[in-house]
Amino acid sequence: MHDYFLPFGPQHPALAEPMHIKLRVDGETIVGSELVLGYNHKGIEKSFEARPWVKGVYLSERVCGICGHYHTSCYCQGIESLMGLEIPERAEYIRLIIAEVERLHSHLFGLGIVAWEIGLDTLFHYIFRDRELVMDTQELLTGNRVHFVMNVIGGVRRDFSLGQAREVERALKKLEDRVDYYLGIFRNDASVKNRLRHIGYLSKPKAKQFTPVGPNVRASGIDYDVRETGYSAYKHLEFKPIIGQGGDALERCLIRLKECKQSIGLIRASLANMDRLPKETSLKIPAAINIRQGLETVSRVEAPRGELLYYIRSAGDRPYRVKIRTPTYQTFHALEEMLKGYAIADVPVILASLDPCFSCTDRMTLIDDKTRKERIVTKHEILHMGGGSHGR
Amino acid sequence: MNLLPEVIKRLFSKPSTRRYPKERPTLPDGFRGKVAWSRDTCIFCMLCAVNCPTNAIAINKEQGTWAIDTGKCIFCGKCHDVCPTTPKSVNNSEKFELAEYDKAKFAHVYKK
Amino acid sequence: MAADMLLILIFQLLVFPGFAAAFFAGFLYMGLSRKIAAHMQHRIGPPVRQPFYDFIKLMSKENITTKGTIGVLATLCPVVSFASMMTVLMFIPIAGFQLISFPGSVFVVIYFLIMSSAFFAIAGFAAGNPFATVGSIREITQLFSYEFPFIVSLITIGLLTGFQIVPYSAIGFPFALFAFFMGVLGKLMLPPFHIPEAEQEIVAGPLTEYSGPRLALFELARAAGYWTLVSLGAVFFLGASDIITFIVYSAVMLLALIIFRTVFARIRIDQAFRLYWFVVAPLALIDLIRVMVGMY
Repeated sequence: MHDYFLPFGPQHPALAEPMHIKLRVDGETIVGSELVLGYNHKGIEKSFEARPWVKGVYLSERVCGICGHYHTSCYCQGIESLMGLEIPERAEYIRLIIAEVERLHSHLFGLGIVAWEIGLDTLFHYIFRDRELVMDTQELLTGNRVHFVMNVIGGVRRDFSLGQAREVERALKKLEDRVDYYLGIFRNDASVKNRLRHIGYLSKPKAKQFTPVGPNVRASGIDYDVRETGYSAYKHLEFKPIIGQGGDALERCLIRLKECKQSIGLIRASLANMDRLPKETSLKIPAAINIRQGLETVSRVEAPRGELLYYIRSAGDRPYRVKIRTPTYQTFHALEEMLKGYAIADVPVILASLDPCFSCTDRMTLIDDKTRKERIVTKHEILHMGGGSHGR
Repeated sequence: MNLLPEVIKRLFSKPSTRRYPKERPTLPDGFRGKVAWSRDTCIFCMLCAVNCPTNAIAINKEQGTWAIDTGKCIFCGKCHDVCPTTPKSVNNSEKFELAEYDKAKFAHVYKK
Repeated sequence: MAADMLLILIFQLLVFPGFAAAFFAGFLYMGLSRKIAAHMQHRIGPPVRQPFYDFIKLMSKENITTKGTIGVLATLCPVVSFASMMTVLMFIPIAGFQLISFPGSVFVVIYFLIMSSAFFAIAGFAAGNPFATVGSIREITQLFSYEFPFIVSLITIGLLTGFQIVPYSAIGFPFALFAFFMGVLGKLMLPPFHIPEAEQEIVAGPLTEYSGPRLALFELARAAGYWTLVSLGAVFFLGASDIITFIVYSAVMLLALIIFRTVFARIRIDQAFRLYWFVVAPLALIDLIRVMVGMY
């Protein structure tokens, strides 16, 4: 039996965004795969260099729709550490609450997609119906269902009223019941377990070798969660990351559901803690921010998909270079390993169980047209490509 | 078969679909829709136009007009934040149905 | 006298239960299936008339043949598929209308049902697209999986009716009924056996390269499949003998198909193979042996 190439993507009903996996298939078993990205490249890292710090915050939100708030939090956190600022405690709590609400949104979205990929679109519709509760909460708290623009450098823009806090509690109560129901389905439904158990298995040594991040690595038994470092208001709350030992798609889904429950708990605790804090939500920052040239920092947050990392280097009134290392980009290194030996039918399931976000992920590579060789682009070349806003 | 009870129950209950446009959504306070100015309180300080991240606002003091380009606006609400008057003269209204067939219609001009 | 009979023959072929009934009732079943499944999923879904709209829209589109497709075969396959289903329909007594019946008609029914699925798979091979090829391979594998218990169940009841399709209530043979039902799920490619057409994995399976009138013909073949198999179930396994019982039993059968469609995730092809051969087939054989030794 000779093997043939099956192109998975870039146009494919299973994929929400374009990506290309060259699958080498023998019958229905996958013997090798090659990942080709680049369809979503937006040039955001370069755009940062053209914008002053304050405008860059709006840009960072638009890196991704599902985890936009995490990107702004990370960027603002980085700038605040460059300026040596400590934002008010109330602002930290508000950032945390919005972040955890967005985590709920993101996890429910990912689980709904998994349900759709295994062919059970009834579960997909049920999960997305409950996701609407989270969307309504987001709209209530921030004014929009995605792209919240809650963060400013020095704190947050809005505060929560008592009425809003009550609405949030009502929504959380309903969500808790629904998450329990879905935990029951994913644990007990035979046809769901049939498609998810032992699929896309990543053992602990392999996970250490390929280092995915987020729930994907926590499902393989490795304890890695940036929230443990106690950034933002996590230092005031009791937080322990949820670890699983299964390593397969089912375990990843269960960990996401358990993290939903954990998020609900964190939001409740934050709302309770916020009561006794002073009303200040942001520091007074001058309109034109100037940071000493050459200062650099690395800022990390735990986005729903894993560790999100921003490297920021200042060039005065704007960044010299912003490097965004998104969690999905890191997790894709393990994809090839996870696909080996499984059937074509399992490819979308494995991909969905990683909860990928292609919008965040794209990077480009230079291919020489004549020799057809790829080469790595150096930092110097990136900075001075496209006309460059430097020359400094 | 775990879904079966839920499936049967939902068959006989009202669907969650909102029959838009017959049924309208209820928008919360603080919803960020189309930008609008309050003609009486604006002092033409131009702070909103200067601070807009996408330069979507154009204000003409002599003619007394405020123009918002809905195509460029990102509905962030920064204009509302920086407005110095009390009560604020520029708000995000509740209008969100802003689609047009003609791009020129995106620029909306309010006159005094 | 002969002219009367000829007229009745033509009526049965073209109107009821033939072509027109297959067209209208088949699409109606498809529309109802989508509507009821949508309500079960807490949404309103498309109108029940939607499959008709789809058919009309597809027929009005341009017929495009891609370079790797064998055009003649691509047009022929849905026609043969549809025609096979129509042939099976002639043997089923629906509310008293039955075109042909002779001892041994059950075997003809089995043969033409297989032919309908086989030409669906051939259509995938004719398309010249790797996704379609994978889909067709799965379709043939699925055919090999469900066909054995399906045939066993038909023969079980056939032994009791002299191998003619007559109204017979098979409630006393639950395993045969179960095997038949699972076979229908496989043949109509309904969840959990919608493997050959798995949208998430192989785009549209065998139908990937089909659009326009050819796809409309496939939809017609599928509608005929719904009408034929649901009617066969209602008559041969649930015992519908007049129009009222026919409607009621068809509705029961359709509702069962809809519930299965909504509640189960898609099963993988190797798992489906094992399920059919190691679970459904032995159960079907139990009932066959019961009939053969007279224990009923």
